[in-house]
Amino acid sequence: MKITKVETLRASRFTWVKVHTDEGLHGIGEAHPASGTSGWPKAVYGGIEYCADYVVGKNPLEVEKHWQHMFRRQLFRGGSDIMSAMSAIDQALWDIAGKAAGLSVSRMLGGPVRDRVKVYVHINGETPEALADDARRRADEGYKALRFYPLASLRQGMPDSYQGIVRTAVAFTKAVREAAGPDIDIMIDVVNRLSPPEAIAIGRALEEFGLYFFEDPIEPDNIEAMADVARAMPVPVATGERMYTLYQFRELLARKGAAYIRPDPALAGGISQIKKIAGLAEADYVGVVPHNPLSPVSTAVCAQLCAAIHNVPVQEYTGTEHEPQKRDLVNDVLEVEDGFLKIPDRPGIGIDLNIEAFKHHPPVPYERPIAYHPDGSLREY
Amino acid sequence: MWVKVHTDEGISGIGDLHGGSGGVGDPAAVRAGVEMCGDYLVGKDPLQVENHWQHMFRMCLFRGGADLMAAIGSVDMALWDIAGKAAGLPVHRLLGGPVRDRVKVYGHLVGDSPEAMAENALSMKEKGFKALRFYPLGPFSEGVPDSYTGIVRRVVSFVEAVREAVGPDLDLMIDVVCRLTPPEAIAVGRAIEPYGLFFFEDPIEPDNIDVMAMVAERQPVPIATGERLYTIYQFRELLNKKAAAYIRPDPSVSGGITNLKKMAAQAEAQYVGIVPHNPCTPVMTAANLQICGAVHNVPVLEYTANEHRSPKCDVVNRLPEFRDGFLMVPKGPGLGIELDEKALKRFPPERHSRAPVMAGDGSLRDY
Repeated sequence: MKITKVETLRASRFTWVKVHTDEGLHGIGEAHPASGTSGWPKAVYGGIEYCADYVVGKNPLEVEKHWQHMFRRQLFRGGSDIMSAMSAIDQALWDIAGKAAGLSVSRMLGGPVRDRVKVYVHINGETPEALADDARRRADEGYKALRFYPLASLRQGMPDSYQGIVRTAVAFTKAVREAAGPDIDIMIDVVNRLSPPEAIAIGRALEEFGLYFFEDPIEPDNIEAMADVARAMPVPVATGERMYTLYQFRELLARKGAAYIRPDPALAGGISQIKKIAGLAEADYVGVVPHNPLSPVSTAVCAQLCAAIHNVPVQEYTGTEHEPQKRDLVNDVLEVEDGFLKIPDRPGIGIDLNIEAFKHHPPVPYERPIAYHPDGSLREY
Repeated sequence: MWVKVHTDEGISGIGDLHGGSGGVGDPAAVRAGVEMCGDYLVGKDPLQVENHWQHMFRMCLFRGGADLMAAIGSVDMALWDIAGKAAGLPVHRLLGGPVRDRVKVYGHLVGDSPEAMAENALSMKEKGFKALRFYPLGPFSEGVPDSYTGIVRRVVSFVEAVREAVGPDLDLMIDVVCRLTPPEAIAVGRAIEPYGLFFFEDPIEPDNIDVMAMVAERQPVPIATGERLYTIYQFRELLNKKAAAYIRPDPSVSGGITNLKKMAAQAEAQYVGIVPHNPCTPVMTAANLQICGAVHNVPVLEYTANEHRSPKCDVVNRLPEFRDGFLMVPKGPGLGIELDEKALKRFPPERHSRAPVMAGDGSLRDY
């Protein structure tokens, strides 16, 4: 079997690759916007072209070999954009390999260890009351874990003072805990917007609410600082959605910077590398919680990983997959039942794109809100 | 020893079984471990390999040691064999391979004197071997020289003889099977620097990883170790402490293909090579070749180089193909090898005996 073409497909805010072969089989994979998370992910498109130059003409079934070539051939290591492109192609190659074998990807990798996985769903609200309402709605739907941004409005920036930030996080967290009751897992994500002192103060103030994790408390670049924060406050830290190599995760784990790691199958090297990262985390008693903010294709890939990996405690789920801008774009979406995502046992990654519908959902750029300091200077995107 | 796992659909799988603590005498504890794993497994779907691995590892509450892990590893190999056969694919293809269709092997040399070892090295070179490993302390069952400097002189004499015999371009490695003290190992490593050894295996006892790291730091030859380690937690510590340039997990003792794949990833993140331990039968060689077919960071594989001799060649349906210093990765479904069970009757089990290594005063050094 030979790869004949790698197509870049775009619709709504998503980017996928479709890898074609000379035997009629094809595979799909999703690319993370990476450096294009604000604006157009042009560098990812370029990365896909660059990786396609290598894989076209190759046997798609030699997945690990191609991963190593794509990772190493640029001499100067690629960043998140090349890794995103590689990840999408890796997913597509596993999809082809599974279809060629008549097996789900999880079955190729020794699974399934589970046929469903608990999900945490995103809840939204710009006031404590609104967020509590959304928490109640999701709890009523059967969700057993809820994740929220505890600093009011993601788009309107942050409270202006150190104490104001702590008070806001406490108010939102208290409202969600009271709405959800004591037995639903709740977790917060501040998307890397806090300084270490702010993150530590929040983590200590929130101890009484029994948060499952505190995600991305500070900027992602300095692992030593992340480990300092993890040591200085009691809430377990989840981080890693912006990391994309085995080496970064090795350091994060060796320094005890996280209780949960969050590799993204569309960014952190696809199925091939996330299996390796999971092995590292298993040896440190750390859970893998795959990052999953994209389309239902990403969800399907995460589901295969969850079925093949022992140390997955919970899976991210946006709770928006039945909305037209997601549902229309695929042949099927995975269903959530009673708070668990059901993992399909179909060949490959178990999902395909519905390209017919793309014309109704033209590509749109990402718009990432910007957080400013009160003096107008930049805090973080 | 092997395990054979039978299924209701006629497919069976096999795995090579290391002797574990029965490296001396009767591996009764390993056989009991297989029974325990069998009690758990019978009635289950063999294709859920990772799931069963986790159950077998965790069901004993108090973690099993080398014996139970050898059993788990062997059963794991057999389950992968079944999974590959059920899919019609060699195991390395299930795991995203091949990354290579052959792997360089290092052959075992034997020789009780430097001259005999050099002669054996030359004949192995003529057979095409590109890497050779030897025990550099004289007759294996006679212990080690009685003085500190005697040990160093002995090793230098063997290493020098082999290097001179084979020339500069063959990779050479030594293995002292954990028999030296840290000061002896450090002195030996420093003394043999001029001979450019590929690795120095198991310089000291295996239990203390801090001291292994100290030996690695204080002498210049890259350390290979890990054949007596069997969990990802042990290898995590070995790697984090930078105690090895090459790790040597055994597909049976170290928890099978499932666990070795994880160890390979741990090693990859540290730029460490995985050199699977391979001292048993051609079934283990076949399992190792599947791992070599799927794992990026395998620089070389161990090969006893006696597989074409009885009894090893008589108990399997085919031998992995040796070609010009490389072993070819089998392409058939599963592990790509079967036992010839009729032939097994001709080779009744015999006890493995390992001589103790005594110090000059008659006290025990190690086995």
